[in-house]
Amino acid sequence: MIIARWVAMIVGAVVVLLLPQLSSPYVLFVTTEVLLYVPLAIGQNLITGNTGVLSMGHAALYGVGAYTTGVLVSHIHIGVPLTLLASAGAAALTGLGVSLTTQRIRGDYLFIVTIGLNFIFLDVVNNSTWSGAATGLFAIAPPAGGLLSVTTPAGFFYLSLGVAALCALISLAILRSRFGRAMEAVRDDPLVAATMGLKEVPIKAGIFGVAGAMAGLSGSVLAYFLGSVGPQDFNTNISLLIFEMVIIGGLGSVSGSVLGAVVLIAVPEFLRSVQEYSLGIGGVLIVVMMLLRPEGVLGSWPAAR
Amino acid sequence: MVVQNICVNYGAFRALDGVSIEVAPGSITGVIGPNGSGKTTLINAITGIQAASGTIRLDGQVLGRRSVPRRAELGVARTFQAIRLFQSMSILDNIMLGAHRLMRAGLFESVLRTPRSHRETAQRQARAEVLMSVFGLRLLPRMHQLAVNLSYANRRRVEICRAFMAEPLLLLLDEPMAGMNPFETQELSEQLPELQKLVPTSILLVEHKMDVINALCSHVYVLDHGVCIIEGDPRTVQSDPAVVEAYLGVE
Repeated sequence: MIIARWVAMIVGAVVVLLLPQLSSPYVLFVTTEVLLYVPLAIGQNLITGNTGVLSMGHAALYGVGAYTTGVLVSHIHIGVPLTLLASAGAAALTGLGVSLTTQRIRGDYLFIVTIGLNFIFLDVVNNSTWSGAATGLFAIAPPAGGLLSVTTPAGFFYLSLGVAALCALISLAILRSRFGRAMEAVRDDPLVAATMGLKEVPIKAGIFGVAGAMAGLSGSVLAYFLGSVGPQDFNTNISLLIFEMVIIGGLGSVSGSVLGAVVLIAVPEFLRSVQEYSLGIGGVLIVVMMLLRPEGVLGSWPAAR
Repeated sequence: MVVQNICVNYGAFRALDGVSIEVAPGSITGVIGPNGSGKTTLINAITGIQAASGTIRLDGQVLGRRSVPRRAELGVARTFQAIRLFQSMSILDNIMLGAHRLMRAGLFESVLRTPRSHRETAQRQARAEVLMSVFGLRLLPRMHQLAVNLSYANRRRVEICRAFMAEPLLLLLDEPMAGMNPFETQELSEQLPELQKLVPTSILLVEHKMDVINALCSHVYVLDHGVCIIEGDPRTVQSDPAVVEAYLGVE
């Protein structure tokens, strides 16, 4: 069994790594899109699945990363690695700020408040000159020259694969550590966690920071990949889509986050005729899932049962 | 630990009205009283869950307005009358979380798996296994199972282990024998001193069962309607007419 599992994993890894050679440009494009959503779903899952915080504005953190890259590339030239880092940092700080300012708001109230924050973000980028208002920022040059040169579709595939893998590894490291148990303690019973000396506010803020950094990194790659950023890429529909990925894939599970991104991005994309309905398909899947398997396909949250 | 003149109000209702108690270092001090006499409120006030007036001193330090986690860091640990384990975690993970205040490697350090963090975790796990072994084979073989799947009595044992894991200065046990059958109660009243020998601590034991108090406590306080009506050694206290009336009812 163990050998079979390793063989499957190695074959899977080889196929993924050779995908640019094996597949059509279209398939490669869709796969890159899926990979860009993986860090978002992973971050949302850390927040909602493992820490139990109902946050519904993840697209705003994604947008902060993308716009940071857009603005930096068109105004200041600090090189690609620094731009990626700055975008991750900006989104991490935003996440931290959101968590600290909403620390007194719980449960479904926070869900509503974070939708509001997503709208505020959209209003700001829609009405500012630095963000190109409703049309967004264009002609974002792809990373060329220097340490990190990514200009081809295959290059973007590998870059987003690297970012997704990095985020998955970070998430696994957190979840397997004492920090992971602390997050789950705060989720399961905040009062008991407090009597053990676990401080809810910094734990939640830390997780929002980490998830923000992941979203910012992904947003930065997106900006380079598309060569443009606009408000429509970060609206509440996108937040909802990310939220659905986590519910369907599995609360609290890293592989569940990956599965959720695949199901909600690749499947509607390949079934072109239903693409307009991807949010709705996600909705139907959630209803079915809540009836049959409330913890999600790969979820590991017995409390949800 | 010294509690002086503590008062707690729930709206117009005074749940604790000027209660003063003292837990001598290394002792097991009992608190008894009928339902609604303020026993759990007293524990909530000491842990900081319930705001209270009066002074609480731990090892000479005034707890004042310190938060619940701050008090835990200073060395206050407790169990709950209605068992509260982290349902999604294994027995071992539940117990290990009790040691949070003792861990020198921070949460972020644990993510990076530094050698220090690794070593510390291994030491604490060995400690957790020693504490579990006090309960024989009740917990040890099951330590990787989810806490939610355990029997009632075993969940209580996990909660007690978790509280001892903090190596607290003061341990507050809120009716640890509640819901246990006579055999389990008898067992636990032998195991508590054993655990206290492994982890030297002062215990405040809130309990309903008189024979448990008689077996474990040298000093006991009797609460009734938020007031301490008498204190002393268990046998003298039990024969006091006021206690008989409040606790056992009037003939």
